[in-house]
Amino acid sequence: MTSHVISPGQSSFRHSGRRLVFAWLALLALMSTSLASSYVHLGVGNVVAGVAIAAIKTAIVAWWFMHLRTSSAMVRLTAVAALFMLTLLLSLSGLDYRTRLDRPAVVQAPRQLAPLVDDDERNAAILAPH
Amino acid sequence: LTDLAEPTAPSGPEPETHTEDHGLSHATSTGISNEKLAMWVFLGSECLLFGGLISTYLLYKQKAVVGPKPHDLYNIPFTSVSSFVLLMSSLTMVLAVAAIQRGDHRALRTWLLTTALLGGTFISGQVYEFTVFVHRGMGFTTNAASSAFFTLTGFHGVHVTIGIIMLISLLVLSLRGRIPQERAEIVEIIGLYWHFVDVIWILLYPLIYLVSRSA
Repeated sequence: MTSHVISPGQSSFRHSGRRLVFAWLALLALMSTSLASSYVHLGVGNVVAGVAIAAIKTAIVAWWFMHLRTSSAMVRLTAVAALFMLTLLLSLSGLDYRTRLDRPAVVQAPRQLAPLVDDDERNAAILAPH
Repeated sequence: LTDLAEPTAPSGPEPETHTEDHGLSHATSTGISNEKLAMWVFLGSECLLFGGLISTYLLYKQKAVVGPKPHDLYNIPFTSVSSFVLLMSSLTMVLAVAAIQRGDHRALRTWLLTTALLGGTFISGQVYEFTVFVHRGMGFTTNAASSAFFTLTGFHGVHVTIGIIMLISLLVLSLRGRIPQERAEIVEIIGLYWHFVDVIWILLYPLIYLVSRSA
């Protein structure tokens, strides 16, 4: 029977060596899958697969290795806020990246300006005998 | 004097203001120690830093007018081995935390040293990779893509290096008997930082290297 009373000096979370090893093996399997998928040309699917696998790996590390599984609501809220901001940054940047045209922008034709006349040239023109 | 920082509690049962026992003496109303919460908030701010750097890289990775682009030079098998090494270090780090929590100081030192060595191996690999890139004509200022690449991966490497320094500091403290079982949380906090660095690499590995392989 598992006791829910934590004695002084004991950590708030308990480790299960077997669970941690399984989590690590899952990380290795996912990394191998990610590597293998990169050798299959899927177009945008490669990006989607890579990011999705990375997200699962991140969740495993955060949930078991960083102990979010047994952390308080305050810690989870902090982690979710950070993840949200990171997702927002990457999403907006990705949206810009995906929709940006590589063609050069239309350049506005320069207005025809009056030719610049040097003061010395203008004075010489005035003083010159007609 | 030490009681000045403690909140005045009414006589009777202790108020349940702190649901986690972290081995420290101060009470908080957040459910965790201030130190651990500070580390989590710091890691949150680090997400923003790396989010900006990753975005910059994604925007500039095709903007190479002169010189080789980064994805022309990537060595995917080599980087995969480096990624494996960093993943391995996450496991040894969590084993170090588990060791101090059960009071096994010998195992703590073993796993801390192993984690630091694995981190050092990763950094050595990164230095080797950078050196190869420079020798093949892609320096920091060669083009916008190379600048973004070196800045992003360089920042991550600096974080790993700082983590190694903290791990070695923990090892020295442990050898001096300064990390009793009651202060296991200090190892856990450093472990949070180390796992975060690993998480960042988990994101960088597909976004930088694998996507370029399939492009």
